Amino acid sequence: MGNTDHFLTSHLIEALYEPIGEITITDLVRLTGGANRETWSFDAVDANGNTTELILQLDRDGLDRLVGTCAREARLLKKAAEWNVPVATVVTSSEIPNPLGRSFTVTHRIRGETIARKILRDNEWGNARSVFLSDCASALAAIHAIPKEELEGAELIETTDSLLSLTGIYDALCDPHPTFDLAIRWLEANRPEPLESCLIHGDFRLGNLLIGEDGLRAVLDWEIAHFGDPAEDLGWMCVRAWRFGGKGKVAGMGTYEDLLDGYEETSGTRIPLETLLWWEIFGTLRWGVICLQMGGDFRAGRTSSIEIATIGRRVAENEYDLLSALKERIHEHA
Amino acid sequence: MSMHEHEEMDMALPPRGDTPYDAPSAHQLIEAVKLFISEELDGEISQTQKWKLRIASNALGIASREIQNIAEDRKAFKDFLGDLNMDSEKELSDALRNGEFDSKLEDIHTKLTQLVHRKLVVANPSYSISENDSPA
Repeated sequence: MGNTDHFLTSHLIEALYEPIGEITITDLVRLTGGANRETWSFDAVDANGNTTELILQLDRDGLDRLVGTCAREARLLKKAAEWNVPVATVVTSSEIPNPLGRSFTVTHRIRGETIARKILRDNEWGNARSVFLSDCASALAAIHAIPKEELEGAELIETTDSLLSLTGIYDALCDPHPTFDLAIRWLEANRPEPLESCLIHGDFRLGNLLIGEDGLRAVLDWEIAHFGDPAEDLGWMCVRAWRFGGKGKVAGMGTYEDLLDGYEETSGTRIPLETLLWWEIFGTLRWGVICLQMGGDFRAGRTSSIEIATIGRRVAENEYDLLSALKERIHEHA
Repeated sequence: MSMHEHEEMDMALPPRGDTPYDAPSAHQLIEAVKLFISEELDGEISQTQKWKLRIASNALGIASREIQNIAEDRKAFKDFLGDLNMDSEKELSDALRNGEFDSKLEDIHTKLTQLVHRKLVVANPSYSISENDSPA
């Protein structure tokens, strides 16, 4: 066991005394993935030998802009659970200042799979795939149904104009990509009727969804949840990057109609197809700008990761997708 | 090898092209490392390491294709801006956003598509041909 592990273990024992009791910690393993968070898996064993399977998430060291978000996310998870959104149960969470020096959350560990390519292809998830889209539609409807007043004190920002916010980020990067500007011009001129603002997850897609044999078990990664247009969550799920090579337009598995029907069934709101497609095009632009930003982290020396470096080259994929999506739409107007 | 055998074989080396350097070229060296990563190391490493090496191999693939295509693509890029009477991407971006191309969107769309296609051939050549996976 390294020093970090010892450090973590002793603080975990202390933090879990109140919710679980006296425990020892076994099988503490750092999991890969997550750019903004550090994730560990471990078991808590009590005096009678009962084991509780747990997950620890910590804000990453040195990322000031994220201080406190684990604790903030925990408050959101508890609220989501009350409103029947499938999420991991929070055992404890802590704000800074605390002895660890970082905000953290411990949740129950749910068995299942998050890796998109496995979910899309492995035989073992065949049943989960057949209900995945309707599960997602219900979960989205449940998130969007949480009344805003229930979320007072959750420190959520309100985005009134997602396109304007995204354009601001893109402009600030000072790395012009004319295809993005063409897309922005089109998106500005063809805005759909906005839906009533509500809590949106912000990153609801394959990779952030944990499935079991019976379907969707938990919606993960709530760190960018905010108030906005609910159709944004649906459109994001359809972006080609989140199809991971699958043939279906939605999460590589289903059709637009499947998603819209399922969402209407639970929420009572029918989102028009053209609205969904506008948000998919917006989402494609958003992923393109994120690729540009991530590649920029490498260019600026903030990371030496080859993976992040090559994401910079994925900008072209989004330009291609934007141009494909805009092709007929632009020719219609001409 | 004797001199007699030489006469019966084609001894000429593959042309080095217009370069001041010796061979193998940067492109050939990168391709060799790529092959080493994807084939020679493949059997000896864990799943996680395989995943990481696949990312490294992809990065080398981009570098390798860039070296092969850059002269032609640089010219196409220059012609693209010249055709539109633009000095830079920045100028074109601003003009698009200000609506200066609103009456010529079809034309600009076609030209951008050709340019982006060139970028994609270097960055990820398999992307544009998976037709079943086309966007909205």
